[in-house]
Amino acid sequence: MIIKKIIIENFRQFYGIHTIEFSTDKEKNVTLIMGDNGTGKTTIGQAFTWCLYSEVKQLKKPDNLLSSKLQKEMYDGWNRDLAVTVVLIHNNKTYEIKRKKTYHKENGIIKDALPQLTISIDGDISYKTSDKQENLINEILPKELSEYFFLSGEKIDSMSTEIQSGKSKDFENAVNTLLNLDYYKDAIKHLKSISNDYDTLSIDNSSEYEKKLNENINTLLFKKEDKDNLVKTKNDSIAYNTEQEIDIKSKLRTMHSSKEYQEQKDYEEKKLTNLNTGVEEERNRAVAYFINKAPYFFAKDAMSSSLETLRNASSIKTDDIPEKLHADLIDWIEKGHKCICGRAFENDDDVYKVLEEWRKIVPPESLGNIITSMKSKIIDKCSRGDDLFSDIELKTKIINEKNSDIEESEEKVTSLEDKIRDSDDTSELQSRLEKYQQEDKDFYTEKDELVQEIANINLELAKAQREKNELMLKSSEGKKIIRCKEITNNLLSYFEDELSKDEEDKRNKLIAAVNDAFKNIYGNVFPISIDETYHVSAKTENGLSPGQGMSIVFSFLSGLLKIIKENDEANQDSLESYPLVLDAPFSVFDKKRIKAICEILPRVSEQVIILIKDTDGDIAKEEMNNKIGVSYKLLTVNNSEEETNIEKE
Amino acid sequence: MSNTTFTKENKKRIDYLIIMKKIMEMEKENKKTKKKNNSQMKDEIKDLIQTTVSSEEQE
Amino acid sequence: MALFRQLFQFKGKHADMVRTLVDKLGGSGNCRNIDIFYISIVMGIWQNKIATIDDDKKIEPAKIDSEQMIRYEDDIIFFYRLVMLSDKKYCLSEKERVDKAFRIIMKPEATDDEKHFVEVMLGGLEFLNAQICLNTITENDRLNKIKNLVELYQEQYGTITAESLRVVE
Repeated sequence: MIIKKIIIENFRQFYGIHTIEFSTDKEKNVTLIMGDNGTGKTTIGQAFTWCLYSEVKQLKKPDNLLSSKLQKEMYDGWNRDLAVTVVLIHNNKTYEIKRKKTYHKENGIIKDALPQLTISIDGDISYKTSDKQENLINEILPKELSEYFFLSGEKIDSMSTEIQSGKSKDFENAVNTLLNLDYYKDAIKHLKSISNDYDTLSIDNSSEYEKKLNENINTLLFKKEDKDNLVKTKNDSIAYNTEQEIDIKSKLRTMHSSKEYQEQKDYEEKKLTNLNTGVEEERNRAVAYFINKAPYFFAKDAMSSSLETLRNASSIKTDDIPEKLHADLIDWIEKGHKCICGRAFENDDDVYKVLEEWRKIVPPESLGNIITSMKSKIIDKCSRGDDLFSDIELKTKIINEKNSDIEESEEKVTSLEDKIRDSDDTSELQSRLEKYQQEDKDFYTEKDELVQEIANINLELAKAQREKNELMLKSSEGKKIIRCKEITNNLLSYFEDELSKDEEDKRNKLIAAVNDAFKNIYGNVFPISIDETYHVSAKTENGLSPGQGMSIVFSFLSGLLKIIKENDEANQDSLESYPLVLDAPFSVFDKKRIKAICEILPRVSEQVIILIKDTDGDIAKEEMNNKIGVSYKLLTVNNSEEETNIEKE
Repeated sequence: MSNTTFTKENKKRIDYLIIMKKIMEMEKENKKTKKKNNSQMKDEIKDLIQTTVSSEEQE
Repeated sequence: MALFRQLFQFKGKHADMVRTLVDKLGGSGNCRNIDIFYISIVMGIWQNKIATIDDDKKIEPAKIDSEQMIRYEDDIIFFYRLVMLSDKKYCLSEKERVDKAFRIIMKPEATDDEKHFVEVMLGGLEFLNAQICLNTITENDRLNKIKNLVELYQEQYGTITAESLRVVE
């Protein structure tokens, strides 16, 4: 099906008659309609659905569709029309579908009449009865399907998110509703009900005993229904709880428990203590070096100048006289008048003279040796102080390094303390988790009990049924009823078999078609699979990105379309492809993704119509330049929300 | 199995397929037109089944 | 005053300074009064500073007992000689400085010299105290001050090493 044009007359903000002709070119299959918020993009989509299905979504007052400007202009007694005409090509025929509503103003109040629908096929107006018209429209584009081909940006986003999270109700709905499996389900529903009816049917003129038996069966059936419903409720509750549990568990996984943080903090604090001790030790060593070496280090200058003084002083070098031989000893010998060998002597005799000669060359008279000794002491002690500077430098460097380690560690400790404080929430989540898990336990227990009770009821029912059947077999009417029930139950099981086979078959076909489309759209990346519960999964390591999720949405649409076509070919209705009408598809995406979508869109369907914001429109134009067949701009008149004009570009 | 039994079995099987097809058509038709409610549909199907049983009896 | 081979006392404010310094440099386990004594001498020579003895009797003196004074006499004599030999301000004549360092030392005539020596030491003590103890609050401050002192001296006299002195000889 291709949409040729739409003619909008006095529909909401479109005052007067406005026509949009869509691109029907095979190559340049994109029609762009640009307008800022409030200019009427969504209104165009609404015009479609109103024309085709007499339905308008997202409107608070769906009745008040008439252009407000027109309403203000109308005088009493005036009639004015609101109409939308959709011209489309289906099965090589041109269909003109016009829905019109006439409004009449009386006493200042505007009343509307029922809408009229006219459909002309290749110019012939036919199908005047509304039933037939509705059927025809549903043949062209079934209403359920229209949801997937008139898409808003939010719908795309939510489908994509669902797919990313693994569920897809849309897939489920599509397979069931759109692929005609609902016929099976309806049949099964009816047959089950019929089977139950036969169970409770009693023959006319039955005995008291039979009547009582029947009553019993009825009661049992009611009980069973009750219990079945209870089981269903429990199942629903368990399913809900399980969802919550999964949610909480995934939250907990990303939040570490405060215990973990505490352990990390303890480790870090220990490290900190060691570092601090280390720093203190290094400092103490540095100070010890100072105390030890400072007397020699800071004396260098004094040592140097002392050496100079000593050099300059005239001195007699006499090597063999010991340093400690001092004039004091000579005084003492002279005083005692006795040499150290014991020989006595007197003042002024020879011994005395020799001693006086000695006096000249020993200190304090002669300083030679002492001075020599002092010089070497100076050099020796100077070397003791040489290293002080480099020692202190080294220690300072080590201490600085340790200090920055300490800083780092301290920061870690602070951040861990913050985390511990914040992560106390895990205890709340934990207790919620435990509550759900406990509830589940209870539910399972209750469910088991119920299941047991149902089993007991079934036993009783079976027994009662058998008795009833025996009694019924005695009459021909009874036999007939039993046979009817048998047939019903057989039909039921055949239908259930067929349903599951057909469902599996169609699901597999859908998966294949989706994978095909995905390959085309995204490239040969990874296979997508859907299980019996319509969980979508993709064999990819990192989960699905939003871009991939969206591509899957479009692949899904593409694949669905293909399957519907095949399905209906089997039923001899041939459908061509459907156009894709997207309202604000980029409203939730960033520039990069818009680019990706722009690459994909033209390939999804034979005709793509995009209603878009101005700014996004510029990007779309850039990216889809060679695919855009025609573009329009929506402009408000005098910035009024009431009136928009459509201009072709 | 004797021929007669075989034919009878086969016939029963074929009958079921026919009935199933009929029911499916009814459901499809109703989906389109939405004329009948659930109990009306049930009645129709019941009629179908009862007719089958009656024709069985006649054999 | 008598210097060698007997009890030495820091008096008055200098006693407080000694105690403060000992405290700042790690306590009496790590730093003795005599260590302060040595360092003060060389600081006094470097800074060319003297300070008079403070007789404030209210302040408890800081002591270096006679046992230590005897044990370390050689070192004390060494530093005394350094003072005498290098202090040109105190005594210009080279010969006289040599005499003070080697001949007059420990003789009764040395009383004035000994006084001078002590004053140099006290001057150095005051300088050391100002450098190390003023505004020193954290452990880091203390080490930084020591480092600054060492760096300052290194800048001025870092070229003097045992090797460089030996070469001249």
